Amino acid sequence: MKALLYKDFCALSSTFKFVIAFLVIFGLTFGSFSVGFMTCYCSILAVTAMNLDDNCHWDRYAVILPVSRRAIILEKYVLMLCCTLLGALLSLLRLALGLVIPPMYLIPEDGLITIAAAACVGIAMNAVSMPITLRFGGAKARIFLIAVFAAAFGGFAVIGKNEQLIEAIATSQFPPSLIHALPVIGIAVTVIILVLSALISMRIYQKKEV
Amino acid sequence: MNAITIENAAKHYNGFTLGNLTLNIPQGCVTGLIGENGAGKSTLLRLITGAAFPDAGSITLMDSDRRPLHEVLQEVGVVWDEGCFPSTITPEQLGKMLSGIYRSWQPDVYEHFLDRFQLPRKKGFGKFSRGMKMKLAIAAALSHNAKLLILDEATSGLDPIVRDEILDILYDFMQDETHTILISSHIISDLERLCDYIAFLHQGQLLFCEEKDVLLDRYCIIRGSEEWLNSLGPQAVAARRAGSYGTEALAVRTLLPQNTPYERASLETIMVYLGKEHTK
Repeated sequence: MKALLYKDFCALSSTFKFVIAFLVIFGLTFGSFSVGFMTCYCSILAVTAMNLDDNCHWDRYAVILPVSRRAIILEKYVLMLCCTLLGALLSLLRLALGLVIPPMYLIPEDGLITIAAAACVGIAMNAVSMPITLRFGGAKARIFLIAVFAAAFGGFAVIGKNEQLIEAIATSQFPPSLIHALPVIGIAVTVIILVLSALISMRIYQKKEV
Repeated sequence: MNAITIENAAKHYNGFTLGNLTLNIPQGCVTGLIGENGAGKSTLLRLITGAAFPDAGSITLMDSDRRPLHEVLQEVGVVWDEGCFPSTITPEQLGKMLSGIYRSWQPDVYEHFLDRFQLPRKKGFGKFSRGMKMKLAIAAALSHNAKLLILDEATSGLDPIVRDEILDILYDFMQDETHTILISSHIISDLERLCDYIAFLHQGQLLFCEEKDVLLDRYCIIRGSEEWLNSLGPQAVAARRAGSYGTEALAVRTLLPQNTPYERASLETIMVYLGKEHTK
């Protein structure tokens, strides 16, 4: 698995340079939004790696290596977690910079929660995208994801225009215990989605003909 | 002992069926797989390597009936007809990657092939010519102490000098009697030089798998009138076609009358005649 990770990092090398340069500039010029965006953006580099594999028909070579198909898929999930961690580290660096450069200051607690939430969102996005990419290829997976996000944001836009619904949500009394448990619930849901995604992906890849 | 055992294997696609095939690839020999475009050669190689799955029958690669396939693949080198490496990966990085995958990775052998093929170590794969890509794939396949080498049109599109170089390397590989090669190619002259056995796939069916020398000795080309050819009998005349100066036929040499003039048939000629005969 280390060898496959090494290969993916080599394959992403030119992408990494561009992404890190972009994120550094982005992080320096934008405020709290940048912290979440950097984490989320790095996490989806794993899907970029899968698309690169698709383009060069890497699977034709991967399946004749002495590596089980299960390990080939698990490596992609480990790559995704590594990329998410990289994004989180860049975001932490941005937060730390804010502590020493006053114009860049961000509230650390808010920043940490944003990073954690963005990591969960990024992992969840990957978890949904990876089995679809494996099954239908990168191009169709992108179309599917665009449709999903369009539907989600479309839904939020509809809610946003409904004043009665917004008032109902704003004035509703959630128990404090629920509010305090939200981060744990969020992480638990992310882990569940991730595990389900990995199981589905392994099943797809076991039967995939290349 | 067989390096590959195929028993009644079949694979169905829309508009094409491969099989049922029964074929044994003997260990210690070079077997060439020939056939027209779309005959099923690549499909068969994908079934053998586990890249695709048969709809019927069984395929045993070395001792894959006793060990997991990915363990068996430690001793198998595969070269496909296209390079399948990411465009940014360099030969140096590929070597590092494969050293972490193959237990018997031989970095000195890999370096030797990179030098022999004059492949730049730090150049991205995407910038290689087709010949360089195939050379890198062959270098990778030969650098982990493989016992079985499978090549799918690996020399197609290469110039004669490069092909000759690769054939020399395959000869060297076969100096070890425990090594086996299964190679598919449209360049029949290469197979005629290299192979011990020839398997001929035609429209998804195996027409024959025979020793090359026996094949070349069995068949010959004769020319004459239709009446004369008919008089020789269907056993003697395997296939025929009309030529500019009469009819030419692929004949079984031992069944011809003594002193019948004939020409030696090349492997390519045998393939063309028998392929067309079976298409009728």
